Amino acid sequence: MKFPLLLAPLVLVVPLAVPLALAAEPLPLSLQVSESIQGDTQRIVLAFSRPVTYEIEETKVRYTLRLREPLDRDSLRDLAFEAGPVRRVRLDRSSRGAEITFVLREPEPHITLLEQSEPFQLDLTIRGSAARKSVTPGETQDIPPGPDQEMPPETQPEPQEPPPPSLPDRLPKSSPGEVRNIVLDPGHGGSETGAVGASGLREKDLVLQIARRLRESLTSAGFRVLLTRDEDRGVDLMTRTAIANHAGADLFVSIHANASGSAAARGAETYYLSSGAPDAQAGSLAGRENGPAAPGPASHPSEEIQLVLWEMAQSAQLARASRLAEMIQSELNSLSGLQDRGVRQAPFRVLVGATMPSVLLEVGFLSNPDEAQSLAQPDYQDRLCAAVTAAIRRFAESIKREDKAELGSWDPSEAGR
Amino acid sequence: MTRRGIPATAHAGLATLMMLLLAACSDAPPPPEPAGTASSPVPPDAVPALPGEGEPPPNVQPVRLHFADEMDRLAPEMRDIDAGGTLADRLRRTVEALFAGPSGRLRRVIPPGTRLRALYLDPRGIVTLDLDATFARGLTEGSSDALLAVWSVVNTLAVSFAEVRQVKLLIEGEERRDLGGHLDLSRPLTADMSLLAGPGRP
Repeated sequence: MKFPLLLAPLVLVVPLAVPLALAAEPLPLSLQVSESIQGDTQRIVLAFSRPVTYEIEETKVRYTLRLREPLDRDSLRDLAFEAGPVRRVRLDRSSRGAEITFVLREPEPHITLLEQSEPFQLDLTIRGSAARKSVTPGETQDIPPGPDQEMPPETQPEPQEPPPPSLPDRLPKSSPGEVRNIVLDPGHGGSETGAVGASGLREKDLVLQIARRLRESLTSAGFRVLLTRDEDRGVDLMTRTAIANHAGADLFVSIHANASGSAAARGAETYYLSSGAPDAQAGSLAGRENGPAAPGPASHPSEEIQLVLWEMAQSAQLARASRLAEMIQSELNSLSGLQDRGVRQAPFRVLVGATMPSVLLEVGFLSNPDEAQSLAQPDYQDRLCAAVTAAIRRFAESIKREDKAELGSWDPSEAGR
Repeated sequence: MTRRGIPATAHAGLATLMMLLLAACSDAPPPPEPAGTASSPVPPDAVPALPGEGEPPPNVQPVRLHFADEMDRLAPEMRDIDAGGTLADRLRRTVEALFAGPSGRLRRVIPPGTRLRALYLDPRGIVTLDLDATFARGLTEGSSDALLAVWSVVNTLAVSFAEVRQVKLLIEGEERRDLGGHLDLSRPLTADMSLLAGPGRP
């Protein structure tokens, strides 16, 4: 599982600071709720900081998940939705722990709950009456299975009846310290055209072409690759990272093309998430860190240490994303004619919630006529993809080396216990 | 060329803001009232004083308004604003000057017609600006546009006012998580100097 593996090297780094007993105590439980809607079908993903047991209680107008342990204070935020079968999600303390209540807009919609581990998520698909009438098998398939997406039987998700829409594939699990599964995310799609160049070149088409080429190039380099979309269709921003999380990705690369009001602006840029952004797990910690010192769970000394470890795990993730971004950018710079605009941090929505190192690549400016022309050329796209593949290989090797160096003779199965 | 990021010492989220707002409704500390709207009935002195406030102000205060150069980097243009009134007054004047556009060779990055609906101060140096829908509507699909527009505001306030540590943007009173189809503005933002042209940058 991803989280303990990530923590493991950190625990080794700071053995003196961590009492052994700590490993047995659970971390505070935080929750991030994300919602997306397509027609009358709502998808709500409850991303927990770690596995948790729960019970379901259903009435005509409510669907409640009862947790046997409390959520951290910062997770207790209600959400309201303007459309869809779920009107509201209410997060409450209860006598036994916490309750997550879906207040339904219409009685008895069709609800499918899918439990995912690594990371632990409850993925709920709620279909309203309109959606139940219109859903036809086949149109719900998000990613057509390709040769690089074969799933060995042991990683098959439990068969669900009926299959929820937009359920992404999974990649075979990578071994510890291995960076092998890459999810590529061609930006925009469908009605979202993205930027449009002077020549009429559309961002959504260009990035799909590049993503397909990059898949080819990465696959021949031995990586397993999944695309968040392999056709001209819109995918919700939250769903894109959810696909990567669900697929067991080791890396997430979102591919975009830029545009500016200035025709002179040019060059590629690589972004990773700014540390102040609401990362899936970092959010609750940030709140605590800056909130008023209050008596509560966080004031317990051992929990403070856990929070420190939690933050270290998060910053380790960000540090890896930063390293990947540097490597990609340096390869792109060595491409002739491509100007360095550098590595930057920004709160890109599509990177929020990814549980693996994630970067966003702006391949160049469509608003610059010269650059738009280069970007449209197949051989330029090939060179671009070769550069990104070389960077990802370097990154994978660096992680492997690091993992070996840090683990030494230590047994990885002890990680996170 | 590369930036490791300004240390995020304080990324207090909406929760904190809401706590402050809630506290303001029920409790003794002065509320962080909207201080910038023309229609606001709140007297200027209702705005909580920030550190550094209170000295007799000079007549004008120089501020650095951030616009874009032809290579899509942020570049400052010096401007003097009336130094009278409260910090909130000066912040509002600065934002309005920024929205009015550059006077020199730089390019405006804030969509024309963008209006500041309200301005809120937080005693720890977080300024929340509530902008009207023109801001979001006027941005094109390039992420560069949205980044420049957002950080022209953040950098302008954070660089011009020592009291400002972070800036949070609301659109029509609401948090946006997909500005220009890309940016998550649900958290306060810190100045990003890597967006400026400078030594060692292309």
